[in-house]
Amino acid sequence: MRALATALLALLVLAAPAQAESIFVSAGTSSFAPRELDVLVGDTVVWRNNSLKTHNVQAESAGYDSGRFAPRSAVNHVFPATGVFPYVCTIHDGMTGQIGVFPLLLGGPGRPVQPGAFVALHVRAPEAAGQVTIEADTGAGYQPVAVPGPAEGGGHDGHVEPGTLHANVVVAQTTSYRAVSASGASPELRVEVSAGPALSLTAARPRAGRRLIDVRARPASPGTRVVLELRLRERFGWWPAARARLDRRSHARFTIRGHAGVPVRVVTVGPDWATVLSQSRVLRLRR
Amino acid sequence: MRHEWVAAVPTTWNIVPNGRDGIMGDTYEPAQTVFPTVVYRRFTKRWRRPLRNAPVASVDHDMIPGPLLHARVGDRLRIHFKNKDPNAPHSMHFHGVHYRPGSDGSYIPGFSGRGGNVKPGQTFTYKLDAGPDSAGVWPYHDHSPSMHESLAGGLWGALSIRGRHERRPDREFVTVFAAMQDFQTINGRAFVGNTPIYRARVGDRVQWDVLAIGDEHHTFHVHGHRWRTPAGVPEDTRTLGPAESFRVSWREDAPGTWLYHCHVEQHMAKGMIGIYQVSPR
Repeated sequence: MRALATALLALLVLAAPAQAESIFVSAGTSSFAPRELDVLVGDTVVWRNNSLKTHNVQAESAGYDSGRFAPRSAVNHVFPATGVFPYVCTIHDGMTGQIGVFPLLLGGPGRPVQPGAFVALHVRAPEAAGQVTIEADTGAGYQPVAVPGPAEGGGHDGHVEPGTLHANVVVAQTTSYRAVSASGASPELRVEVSAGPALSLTAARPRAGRRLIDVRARPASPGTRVVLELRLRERFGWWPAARARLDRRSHARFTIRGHAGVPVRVVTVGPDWATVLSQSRVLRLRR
Repeated sequence: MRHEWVAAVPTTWNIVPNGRDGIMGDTYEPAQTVFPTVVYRRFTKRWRRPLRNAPVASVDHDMIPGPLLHARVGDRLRIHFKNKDPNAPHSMHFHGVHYRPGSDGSYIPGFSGRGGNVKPGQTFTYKLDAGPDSAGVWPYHDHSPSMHESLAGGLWGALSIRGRHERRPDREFVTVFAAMQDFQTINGRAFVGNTPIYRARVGDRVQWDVLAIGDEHHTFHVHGHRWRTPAGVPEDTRTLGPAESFRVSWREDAPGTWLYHCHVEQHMAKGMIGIYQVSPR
């Protein structure tokens, strides 16, 4: 489908073999986190008991029973074959989880992107994966859109993470991707394209302890819901400090007191005032 | 005579605005944490303009619980209530104060008056008296035919009544324990950073108004602090069940960032925990 407008900037595959990794699951008081986890064939899953209770892990279909493990201890299991393996703690009712074991893993941006954005996708592939291709769901089935390669030039010191392949794609609309090799496919990765406009943010110098923050949107989007967020230590993340609707000129103004040195951003949100559609750059309020 | 203007208003509520359990690192999507609900909101006279439910000095978030209503023993109260929810009847039923059956705010088919079943768009004035046995903190909540859904959604608040000559504290913290959706919440929020951040300074006289709404028992615990029971016994944890309430107070002498939480572990794991910041004098 042409509407995908999916370009690729990819090199030939010279798959340096992926190192098998240890992936951690936290056993809490009454739940595993993350509850569902996808790993690569050969990876070791480590369950760490971060609670004050004794737990166990029984994955019948994987033929694994950890036995009881005490607070602050850990158990692990290597998953040698692909499949989906549910597991339970038989000591605590309702404490369940699931490990998906795949021949390839595909990672992406983890948040909505602007239409037409360049998006970096990363593939973890095991040794002897052979040729890897990234495919996009066109609506009429999956079509190849990119051949990922080792990172171009690597990091700042030329270091290339072994076993990780990269490709950039242009995403015009919300699309599902997967990585494919002779041994199978990765789980689907959905890249959301935000419906929100691009936001520009300016903060005035504080006067009498108050600071004005102006936000403008392009393309014009009057009426769009916007939320001013502050990244506060005591909030353990981004905190919605004020909400507004863009006016006829696609502009909104927030007034905040104090908070010198704090990172701020503005996001456009859906009708629930919580689902982020697009976000401005992060601005640090000058003292 | 004290007059208060309160309305039940529809809103959208987010139990976990920062999207995470800051201690365990778990993340939550808005689809898991946002829901439409109805809350009590304080208004100016004749419901002309909405106001904050709580003074900024004490709490930095709004809407749940409803307005913190104050009175002194001997006060007469007129609570003017308007139901701005277009979809369901609501009411206000007050614990701890004196009133005639017509101001009870609960629905008994064939017996209760309009006050127990205030229909969408209608108003009712509850006439209450703070008697000598009313000093303390008490819950108020919807007791209309829709009370089971609306209590689960946060249609409740606190009434704080001081003795005739009792001093006002420097800080008053309202802490309401209630299950909400799949979370255990304090003032309708779950996990540190989302639950109220209470703030005080060394030397402040702080008062905690602690309430429980719902079907479960909770234990109120504050780190680094103790208070005394009426019998003079020091404690740092106190249990309360559905619709029970109490107040504890102390003069603040412990600077730092502290945890407060329900000590039922399952509740703590599902979000019933917050932070209390005390700055040096």
